[in-house]
Amino acid sequence: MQASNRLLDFPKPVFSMLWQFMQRFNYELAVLSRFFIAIVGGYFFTAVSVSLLSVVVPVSKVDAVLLSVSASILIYTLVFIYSFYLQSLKTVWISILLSVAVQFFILSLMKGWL
Amino acid sequence: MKGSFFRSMTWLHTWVGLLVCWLLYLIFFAGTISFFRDEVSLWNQPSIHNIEQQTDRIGAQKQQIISGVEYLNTQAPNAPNWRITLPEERVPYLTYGYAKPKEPEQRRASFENTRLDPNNMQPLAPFTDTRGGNFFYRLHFDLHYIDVKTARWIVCFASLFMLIALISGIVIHKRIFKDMFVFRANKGSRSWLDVHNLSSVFALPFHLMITYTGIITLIFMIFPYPAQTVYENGIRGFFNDVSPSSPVTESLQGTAPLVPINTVLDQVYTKWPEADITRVIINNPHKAAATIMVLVSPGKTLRDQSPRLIFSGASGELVAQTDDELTGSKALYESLNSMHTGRLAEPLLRVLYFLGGIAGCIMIATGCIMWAKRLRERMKKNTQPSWGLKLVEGLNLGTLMGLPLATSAFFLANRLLSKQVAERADKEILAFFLTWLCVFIIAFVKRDKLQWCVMAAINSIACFSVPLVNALTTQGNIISYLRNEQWALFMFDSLFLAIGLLFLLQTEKLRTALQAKKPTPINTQEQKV
Repeated sequence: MQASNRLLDFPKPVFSMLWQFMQRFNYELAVLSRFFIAIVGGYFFTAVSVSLLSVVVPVSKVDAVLLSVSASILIYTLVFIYSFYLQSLKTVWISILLSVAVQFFILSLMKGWL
Repeated sequence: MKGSFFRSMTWLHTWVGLLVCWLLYLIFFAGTISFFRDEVSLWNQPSIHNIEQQTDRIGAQKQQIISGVEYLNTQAPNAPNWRITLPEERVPYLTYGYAKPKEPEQRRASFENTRLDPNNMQPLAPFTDTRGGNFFYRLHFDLHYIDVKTARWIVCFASLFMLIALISGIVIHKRIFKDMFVFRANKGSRSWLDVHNLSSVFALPFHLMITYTGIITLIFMIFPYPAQTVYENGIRGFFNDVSPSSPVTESLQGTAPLVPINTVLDQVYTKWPEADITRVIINNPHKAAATIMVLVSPGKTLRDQSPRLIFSGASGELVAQTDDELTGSKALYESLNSMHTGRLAEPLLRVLYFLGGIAGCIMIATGCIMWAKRLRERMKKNTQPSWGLKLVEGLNLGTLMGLPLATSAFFLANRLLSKQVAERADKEILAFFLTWLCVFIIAFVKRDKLQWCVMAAINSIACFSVPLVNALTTQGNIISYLRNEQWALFMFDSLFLAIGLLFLLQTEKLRTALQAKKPTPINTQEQKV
C-alpha cells in the first residue's frame, strides 16, 4: 500500500490528490459504492431476472407478465438487502454483475438475440 | 456492512429511513386522506351536501341511463365520446358528460358535464371549482409542480427504501410481541422509540402491504421489461391483451344509427341480474365503429379493474368483455392493486385502512424525531450542533407540523375563497403550499421547543377553525350533520376537532416543559437521565 502510494505520488500530483481523497473519504466512498450497487445493480438484476422469469414460466403471455411484475419488487428488495448484508464490497459487486450477465446471456439465448 | 448482520441492518434501517422519511411522511399523509377521497370531495362541494340518499339506487339505474342517452343525443349528437356516471354510495350525484373537441395543445379532451340530483333528475347548480379529495390522491404519487413521470419515479424509489427500512426494522427487532405492550413515558428518546415500535408493530402487516402494493400500482413504469420481452410490440401489445377491446369494431368506417340502449342493458341484466352499474361510456356514437361500454362495480371482490361488457353501438352485439374467472397470476396482480386502493372497503374496513395510514405517519414521524433526539442527547455540553443535525431538525419541524397546517389551510381556502376567483382550484392548492413554505421558513430560522410549541398552537387553532368556518359559510354545521345523519360530513368535522384537541394537548405539554426549563438554565433533562 505504502509503496504504491509513493509510486503514484511522484510522477503525477493529480493522482496523488485523488489517492488522498480516497484515503480520507474511504468510508464514505464505500457507502456510496454500496448504495450504487444496491440501487442500480439491484435494478438491473431485477429487470433481467423478471424478464427471464416471464419467458420461462409455462403460462399464457398475460399471466407470465403479471406474475413476474408482481414478484419484481420482492426480488429488488432481496438484492438490496443482500448488498448490505455481505461484508465484502468486492464480493457484492462481482456477484451482482456476474449474475446479471449470466441471466442476460441465458435470456438472449432463449430469445435468439445473439 | 459493519461487523455483524445485526449491526449492518441497524445501520441500513437508520440511514435508508432517514434519507426518505420526510417524503414518505408526505406520501403516507396524503395517501391516508385519499382513503376518504370521495368524502373530502363531498365536503369541498357544499352545494351537494343536501342531496338525499336514494331509496333504491340500483333500481333507478336503468332509467337514469336511458334518460342520459336521450339527453346527450339532443345536446351533443356529434361528440366523440359520451359518459354517463351513475351515483354511488359515496358519490350522491349523477353525471352526464360529453367530450368537447380537442384543442391542439391538449393531450386529452376535456368534458362538458351536467350533474343532476338523482332523486328529482333536476340539474344541479355548476360546481365550485375545486380539486377536493383528488388533490391529495394525486399528491401522494404525482407530488405537485414537478413532472408527473419524474415524480412517480421518485415516489417509487422512496417506497422501495420504505420497504427496505421495514424489513431491516423487523430483522433488528428482537422482541416483537413484548414491545407491543411497552411504553415508557417521559424518558427522552426512549419514549420516542417505544412509540415508533408500537405504531410499527401494531400495523406491520398494513405497512408491508401498502408499501409493496403501492409500488405494484406503478410497476409497468419501472419494470416494463417482462412485457417488452414477451410481446413483440412491447407494453402496448400487453395492454391490448389485458384490457378487453375489439379491433374489428374500431376499424369500421361510415355512420350507423345507435341501437336503443335498452337492448344493451337487457343483455347486461341477463348476464348479471344484480349488476350495480357505475358507468356507461359510448365511443363514437352514431358511427359504424361505435362501442358501448358498460362498467359494473366489482363489489367486494379483490379486483381492481371493474368488470365490463363492450357492445357494438351499431348492432348491439357483445364484442368484448372482462374475464369472468381470473387466472392465478391475474388474480394475484389484481388483488395486490385492489388492496392498495381499498375501493372494496366497507365503512369499517375503510376506517381500519385510515387508522393503518395514521399509524404509518406516526411511525415515520417518530423515526425522524428519534434520530435528531438521540444525536442531541449524545452531544457533549457546549458543543455546536452539526449542520446535518440542524438540517434534520429543520426538516422535521417543517414537515411534521407544516403538512397538517397546510391541509387545514387548503380546506379553509376552499370555504373562504370567493366562488368567482379565476382558477380557483389552483388557488386552493397555492394556499396549501404557501402555508407549508411559511412553516419551512420558520423551521429553518429556528427550531427549538418554543417553535414546536407555537406551531402546535397554530395547528390547533387552524384545526378548530375548519369546522367553525364551515358552520359560518355554509348552511350546515357539525350539529346539523349529526341530526340529519350526514355521517361523512359529521366525521370530517369531528376529526378536525379531535386533531385540534391533540394539538392543544401537545401545546400544553410543550409549554409546561418550557416553563420547567426556565428556572435552571442548565439542561435539566440530562440530569434526570
